[in-house]
Amino acid sequence: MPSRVLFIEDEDEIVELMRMRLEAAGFTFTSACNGEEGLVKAQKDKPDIILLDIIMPKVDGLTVCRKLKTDGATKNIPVIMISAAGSKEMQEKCREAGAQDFIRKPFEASELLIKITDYLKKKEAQDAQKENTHRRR
Amino acid sequence: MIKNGKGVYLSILTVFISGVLLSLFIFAQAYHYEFRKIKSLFDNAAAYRFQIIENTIGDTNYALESFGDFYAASEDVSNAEFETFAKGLFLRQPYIFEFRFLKRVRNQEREAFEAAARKEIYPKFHIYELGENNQFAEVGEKAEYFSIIYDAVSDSHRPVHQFVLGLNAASFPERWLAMQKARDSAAITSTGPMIGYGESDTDYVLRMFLPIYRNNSPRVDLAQRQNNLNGFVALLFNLDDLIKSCLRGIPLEGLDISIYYNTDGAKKLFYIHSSSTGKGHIYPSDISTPMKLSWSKAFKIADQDWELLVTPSPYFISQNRIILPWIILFIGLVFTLFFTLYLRDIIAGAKKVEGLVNIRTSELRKAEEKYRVLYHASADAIMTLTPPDWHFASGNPATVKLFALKDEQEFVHKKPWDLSPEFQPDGQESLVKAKKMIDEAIEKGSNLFEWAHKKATGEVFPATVLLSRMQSAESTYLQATVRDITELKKAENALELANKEWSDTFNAISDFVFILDKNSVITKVNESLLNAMQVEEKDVVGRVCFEVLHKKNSPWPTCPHQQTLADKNSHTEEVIDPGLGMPLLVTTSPIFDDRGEMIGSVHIAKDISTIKKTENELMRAKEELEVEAWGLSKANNGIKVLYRELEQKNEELKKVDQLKSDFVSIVSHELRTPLAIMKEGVSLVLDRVTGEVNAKTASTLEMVYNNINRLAKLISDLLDISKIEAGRLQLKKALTDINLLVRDAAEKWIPAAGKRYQELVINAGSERLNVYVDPDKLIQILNNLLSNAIKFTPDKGRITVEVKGDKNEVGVSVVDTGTGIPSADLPKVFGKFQQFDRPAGGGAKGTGLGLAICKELVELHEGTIKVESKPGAGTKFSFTIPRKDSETVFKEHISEGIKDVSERNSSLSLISMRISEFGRLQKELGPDRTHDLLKEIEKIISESLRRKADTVVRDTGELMILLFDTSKEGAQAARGRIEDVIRSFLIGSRDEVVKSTTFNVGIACYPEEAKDETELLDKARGIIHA
Repeated sequence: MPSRVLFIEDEDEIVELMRMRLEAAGFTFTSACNGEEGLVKAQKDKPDIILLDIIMPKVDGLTVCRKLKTDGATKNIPVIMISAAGSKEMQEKCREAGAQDFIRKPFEASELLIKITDYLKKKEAQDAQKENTHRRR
Repeated sequence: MIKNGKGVYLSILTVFISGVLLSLFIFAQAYHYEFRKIKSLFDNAAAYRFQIIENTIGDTNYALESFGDFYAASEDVSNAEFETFAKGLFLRQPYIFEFRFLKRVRNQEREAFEAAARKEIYPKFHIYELGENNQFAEVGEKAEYFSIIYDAVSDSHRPVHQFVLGLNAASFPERWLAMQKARDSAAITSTGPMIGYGESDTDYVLRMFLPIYRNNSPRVDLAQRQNNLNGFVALLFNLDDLIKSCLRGIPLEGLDISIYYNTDGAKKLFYIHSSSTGKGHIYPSDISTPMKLSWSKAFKIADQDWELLVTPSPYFISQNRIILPWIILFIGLVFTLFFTLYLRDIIAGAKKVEGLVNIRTSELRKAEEKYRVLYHASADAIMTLTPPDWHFASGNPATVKLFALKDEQEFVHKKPWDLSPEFQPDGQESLVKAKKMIDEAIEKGSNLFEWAHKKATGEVFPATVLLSRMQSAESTYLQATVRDITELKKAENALELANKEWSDTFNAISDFVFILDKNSVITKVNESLLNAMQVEEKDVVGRVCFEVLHKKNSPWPTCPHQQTLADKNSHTEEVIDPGLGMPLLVTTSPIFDDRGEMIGSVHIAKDISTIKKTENELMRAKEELEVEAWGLSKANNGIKVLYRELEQKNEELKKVDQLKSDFVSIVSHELRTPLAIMKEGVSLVLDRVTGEVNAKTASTLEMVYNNINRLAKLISDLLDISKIEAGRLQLKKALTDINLLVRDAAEKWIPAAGKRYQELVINAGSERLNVYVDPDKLIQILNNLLSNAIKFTPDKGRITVEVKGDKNEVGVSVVDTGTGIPSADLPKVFGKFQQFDRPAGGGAKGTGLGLAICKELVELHEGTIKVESKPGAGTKFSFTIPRKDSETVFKEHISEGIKDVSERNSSLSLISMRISEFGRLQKELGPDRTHDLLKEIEKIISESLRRKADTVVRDTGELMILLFDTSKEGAQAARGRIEDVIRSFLIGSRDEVVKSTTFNVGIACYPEEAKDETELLDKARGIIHA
């Protein structure tokens, strides 16, 4: 089954480009145009990975990330933050918010894809381990 | 012979009485004999004394008569002659006191006589009498006078003598009576006892008179005697003296002499000479009690009748008594008594002996009977062996049966080895060994041993043989008792096997087991314990357990064996005795004998060191949990403060929003978003995601793609430069190992260099080279320099990165073998938008800002950057960064913070955490581990703060935390949290050194407590939190 990616981003051009890229890579792509919607979709669909833009209207990406990481349903989903600012401070903030990784735009598509697949693999391994532990019990 | 009880006593009584009577009889005889002896002695003594007294009395007669003779011999006697004569008589009879001659003077002759006397005798001669009071008294007219004309007194009182001369003796009535009687009887007469002659009233005297007639005158009849009287010779003697004189020289001997005076038919006791005093008493008042023994005889003193009585005093009797009778009696009685008792004992003894004999006889008979029964009925084979060849002389029925013989006859005359196999189990010949056993039995009296016998059937069986030496009247022989011990042997083997099994089991137990008796003495111990203690069994068994194991004189305080001894129950205790080398779980269980008495206990000790270790780990985990829980509870206490901080955090986040409106953010976002879209769009097309493209389209789009990248870089650089120039770039300095940093950064370029076949040499030391720099910025500088180097060096060139450092500064250089830069251009190298000739090879063009940014960054670090180049040879870019002492850096940091908050009219709190004894810690852990530890501490502090804070670590083990927009209250809360967190981190470490590390935390607040960084720092360091 293909992995599902949730992209939370307000600018739809970027969303479109991302869709094209990710679907070409074989992922199932869903998006949300703001934080609130993103949270709901994340809780409902339980995607395998979330890409999250930082600068967004109303609720910024960091807050969304925090919320995702505290919600039991979504906290185990890896989050990659995307930002225009690439400063160390921003990176630090993203880490503090609980994001697994960070990518600066403009980005190399390949870089992003590599990151995504890495985290998906990691998550798979983790899930498998959890299941094994479950079974053993 | 021995009568029954009553008879015996009767005979004893008879003997006793006989003995007593005999003793008494002998006593009586002896007493009587003694009495007679005494009496004869007494009689002799008395007679002897009487004789002397009579003789002495006789002597007085003799004295008087010799005086008469004296007068008869001569008519006229002078005074002197008289005295001489008298003296002689006095000497002979010392008891006589006076001699006198009494002249008869008729009245008519008086004058003439007196005149003559005055002439001859003495001038004052006068016939007188004694009146009252013995005074001189005139004598009246009398028919005749008897005047004293010669007088001699034994002790010659001259004056008396003179006084007496002329005294008319006839004036004394008693004397006159005696004188008359003497005249008339022409014999010596005596007065009775008269009171003394004046000297002493207690002297009783006797006067004797001898009539002197005229010479040759007839004196036959009374008339003649009266007519012819011339005078008298008179003497006076003291009877006491007489007796004493008589008895002088004779031992008293305890004889009392009593003298009785017979007058008027009555006997009056006149005198006693007591033997006890040796004195005489005239008219004694007390009369001694009449004694059994006495001797008396009458005697005359002149014409007076006297009687002498001699009685023995008790002294005499006792002196002469032989104690013989009483002794005899005593001896006799004693002898009788002893004899009686002895007799009784003999009789009793004899009776006892007889009784014993009877008992013994009956016992013997019973024993005989028993033996007979035993012998015949015994299941053991009993036989006798006779010397000298020790053949069997007899054997009981059991013997016959044992050896499977037909009868006793078959048995007799055989010898022991005939009924044995040729060789005994130990290899000795039966014949030889048997003889040895026999000899031993003869020597020692008995011999018990095991023997292999052979039945008549040929069957060999094991037996025990008891040989006993027997003594009969004729000779010494042996009795043998033989018992078949086949079954016993089997049982023995089975027991041995069982023992071995038990022993093996016992020793196989891996736990330490031993058995103790009631006195805590070890009776059995298993191998596990012996091996563990490295001792022999003999060293342990028989000794008291706590001496051997605990090496003490008293039991282990909680010893379970002692408890078991006390209450007879099992007990289990942990015994952790360091001397044993391991912790043990000891269980003791009581052991009871058949009667239910406790005889000891089994002591099992198990090594629980692993269990203990697990216990300890659990304890530690528990402690950790407790600490965490405590930490959590502490955290709870700070929740209020946390909430407040959260509020503040919210403020900060709002500020993040504000960043959006910040120019840089705006630029970043607004510029980069379209760029990103452009880039991704083109990329999608180039990646054929949107569909097929032809080559020309592709190459064109590639150009577009490259330039989009170039634009993106330009924007970044511009932003950097603008930030730097606006002074808004804040270095995040940290203590960085420059060697490591350079190495890491440079290594990332190796693939890029490799693509161009360029050699990248990294000369960075492996030791730590610390310097306060912003590591990211430094990496940026390096990346810039390296990318330039690679770009401007031809293929197969070499790029060398080098790090150098000394006390004051750190220097990094990047040397390439590229085309070089003309010296004219060198000054412009670090200018903005300076681009030089494109290097050989491709690659995107630079922005022209890279080196300018490097310069700015280096200069922000207060360093210098320079370039050296030789066209055609290569270029060297090098920069140095000064190594400031950490204190300065610290203060810089603080002052920057102060500047920051004062712009915003906010406050800044400084928390200073210092590790105590940091030098020692560093020495023990080493610099790397110390650095890591500090970094770790820094990290956990940062994580715990969750607020805007800067942390700086010094290489002196001091950590400084700047809390922005934090008042004192908040700082104190933060401090509390920091302390807890550090403490739990340190305690939780596995390393003992780290665990034992202590630290101090102090706080100070700007502007409340300090005005500048120095004051703030001092205050934070000065406040020591205990």
